[in-house]
Amino acid sequence: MSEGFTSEERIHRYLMNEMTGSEKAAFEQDCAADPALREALELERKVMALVRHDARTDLKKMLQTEDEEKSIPLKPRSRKWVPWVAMTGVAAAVLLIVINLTTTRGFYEEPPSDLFYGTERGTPSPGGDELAAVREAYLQHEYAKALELMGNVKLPEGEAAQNANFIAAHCLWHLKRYPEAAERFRALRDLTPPGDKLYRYTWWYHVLALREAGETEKAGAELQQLHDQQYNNMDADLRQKVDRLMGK
Amino acid sequence: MRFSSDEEVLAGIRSGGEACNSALRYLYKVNLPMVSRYITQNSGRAEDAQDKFQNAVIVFYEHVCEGRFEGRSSIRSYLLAIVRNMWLNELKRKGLNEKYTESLLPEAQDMPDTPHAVFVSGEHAAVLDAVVQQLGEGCRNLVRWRFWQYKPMKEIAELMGYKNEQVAKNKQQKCLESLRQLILHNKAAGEILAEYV
Repeated sequence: MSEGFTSEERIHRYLMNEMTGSEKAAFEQDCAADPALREALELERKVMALVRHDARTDLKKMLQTEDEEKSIPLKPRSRKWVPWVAMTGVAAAVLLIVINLTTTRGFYEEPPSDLFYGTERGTPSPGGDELAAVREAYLQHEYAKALELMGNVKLPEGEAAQNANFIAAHCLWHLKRYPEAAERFRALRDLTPPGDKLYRYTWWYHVLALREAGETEKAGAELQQLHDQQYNNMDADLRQKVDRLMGK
Repeated sequence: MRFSSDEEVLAGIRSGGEACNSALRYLYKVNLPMVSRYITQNSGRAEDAQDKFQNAVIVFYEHVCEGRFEGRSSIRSYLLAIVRNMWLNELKRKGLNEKYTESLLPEAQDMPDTPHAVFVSGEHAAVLDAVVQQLGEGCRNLVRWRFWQYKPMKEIAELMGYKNEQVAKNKQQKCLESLRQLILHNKAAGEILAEYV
């Protein structure tokens, strides 16, 4: 105790800049001499940083909503367009896709777990234990480590290779290596039968990665193709995401 | 909602709740076009401007709560000074600072450097979000009011509907202990926080 304050109160007063000059000097002296106090101070700094992060996240979301409210929605397509109306509509749609694609923030979400584990067709863990270690690193958000482990895995053909590529592409995304992520997602699409759920999701992530890599026009074109070719086969979740990114 | 002066904006922020949200939204909306022009003229994209300006509004809000904004310059100049510092740091980080051309309002160019905070983003933010979401809503509000908005315990006790300050203090202790345990039990979160403190 010092000047009637508990250690915890002193730490808070110090971190909140509420101490007088002499109080602060005394506290710093105590910290230098007392490892337990120093350790408690470091932990409390982390607590404050976490509180600040949480509060900032909410405030940031509120300000982001302000941006979303200003965006221009795309009108739904009519099936009975006369040609010139259709052409104008397509031009407007492409333009709005480009506008919408100026940000993909909020569109990326972790892939559905059935794709992540490659179990859609009843294969519980393609790739065996080695790939399981990669997956575990990914789930622990250790993306660089997951990629490193991936380099040591001797992959069999087929579904395990798809699964490994899928994880690798998401690691690259999280590491913000967007051009490489886009390439990886594109390569994975070539390995996957077009009827598969994985195929559609891979295409979706390819669009997002292209955009983040700065290839806005290419991303817009890919999104339009994904929509035109796969929309009817998509699950509700993916359909909703595609609609949102297209500004519907 | 419209505000006719900086004093009105500050009064809105200080009264908290919806008035505070309206004031911050107003500041964001009114000043974003200027910030957007500045960022896009300096190797940035429109979404960079949105991101940086959102962070700048948050830093400004924190400075008001901490009593660091003294009103010696206009809010607009202060916000622009924060954005400029943030963007210069970003350009330095990307090695693009040679392309920088000052294009702010003259009033903002005269501002001294305004210290700004470092924001957690990307996968690091996801790790922290997962940790903090394990804390109850009441606790999250309480610690936020105390350690982010610098509200006195007496006011917090009233906001929480507690009988007196001591009840709020006891609750604060329990909430802080929960947070400490959450951090101590999540190595990744602890390491990320150590980077940002």
